[in-house]
Amino acid sequence: MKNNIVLIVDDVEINRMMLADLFSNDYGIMEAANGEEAMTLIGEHYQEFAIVLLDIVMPEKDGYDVLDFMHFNRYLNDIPVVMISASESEAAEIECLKRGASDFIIKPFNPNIVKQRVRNVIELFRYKRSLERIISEQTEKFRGITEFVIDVLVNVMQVKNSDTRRSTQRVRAYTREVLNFIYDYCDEKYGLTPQKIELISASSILHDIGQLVIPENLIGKTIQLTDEERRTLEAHTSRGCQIIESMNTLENREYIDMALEICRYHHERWDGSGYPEKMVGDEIPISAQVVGVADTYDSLRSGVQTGRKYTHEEALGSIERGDFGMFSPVLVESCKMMADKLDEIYEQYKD
Amino acid sequence: MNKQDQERLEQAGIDVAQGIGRVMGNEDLYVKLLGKFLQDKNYPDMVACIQNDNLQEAGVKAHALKGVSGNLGMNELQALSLAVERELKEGRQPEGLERLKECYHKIEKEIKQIV
Repeated sequence: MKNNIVLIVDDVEINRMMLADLFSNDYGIMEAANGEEAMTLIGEHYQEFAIVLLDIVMPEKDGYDVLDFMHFNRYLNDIPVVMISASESEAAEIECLKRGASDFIIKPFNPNIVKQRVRNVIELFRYKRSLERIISEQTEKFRGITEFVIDVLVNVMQVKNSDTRRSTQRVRAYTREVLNFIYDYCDEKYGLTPQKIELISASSILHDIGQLVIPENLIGKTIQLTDEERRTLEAHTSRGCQIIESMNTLENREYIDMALEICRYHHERWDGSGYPEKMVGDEIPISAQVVGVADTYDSLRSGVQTGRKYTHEEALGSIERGDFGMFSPVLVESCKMMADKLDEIYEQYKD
Repeated sequence: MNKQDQERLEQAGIDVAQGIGRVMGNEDLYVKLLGKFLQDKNYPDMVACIQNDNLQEAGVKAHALKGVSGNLGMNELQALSLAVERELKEGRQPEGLERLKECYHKIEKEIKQIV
């Protein structure tokens, strides 16, 4: 059977032997004597592990380092970790659980309890993985249908504006990259998961669908607008929502809701200078904030925004200054930190 | 393990029944682990670190000693390691060190008789 190995990480050989003895009848066993060894083994064998039993205090990288490494490399989603520690502090326990450990067992332990708890966690994760597999197969199936419909719409938009297709692809790619960056490096207040990031970036391609019903001569026009022209142009958010609503079927509700959120709010700005609701700060959903900054970056690079193609540095500078409305400091920093990646995407999908 | 051996260990502050219980009643493995305990470097390393006034590192060693002694049913040694670990974490030369040394050597002596 795949993933049937228990990885035991403890710097004291006696402790490793005791745990190995508990599980060697039912599972394969691998051992690591410190955090460094554990990370190497996890990197090489992660598909084979059923669980990691992890001590905290160790030389050469401790248990916290191993947890962080597993979180960063997305292993915690598939491999559960149970801490086995002589630490009697609740703070350590909370810290480990917060960093993604599934359970915490204090040394000295009762072997029957350890055996049963570890087995339960393994079974739970196996069940979770099988559910996730089923869900992702079904999502894949209906995503195929939805993407076809969207493809048609984007093609229609293309007739009005020849760069639409490329631009849509780029905005989707920036969105995914910026969200991944926030997921890896920022706090958890946005509630991002790999699934949600995929959903947001896939839904982002409908953000400007409302341009279908805006007169062509207004699209891309940002200066010397009359009040009426401005109102018409700004209505592309609400008109877009009407189009998206009409695609609504029961099966793709999640996708439609996300597309609506992005379409409606991607012109809101952090300082309240946006439209249509003049929302402020994190009132604006993270999905719309990220698509908003991605869209702005792309229109500056491609020249849609000002009539002149900005360089990568000019575009970032303009976003940071808030020339077209302010963005969240978290987003501005993220864009700056991953600058090369944005430039790379632009160049890759240029024409 | 005969009854006499068991009594020796118990006089050194080891709860043998509990220790064997921790390895699901596997007495052979328990005796083997006691042998391993004599080779474990955490105790000598801790003493050396304390002598060199490297109290932080000594605290890490005391922590490991606490864990392993607890697992083997060495309850007295576990309690003494805990006390020393706490003193070390507060950055003090541990007053409990002498009692811990005494306890460790008593255990060491008895285990050597058996394995």
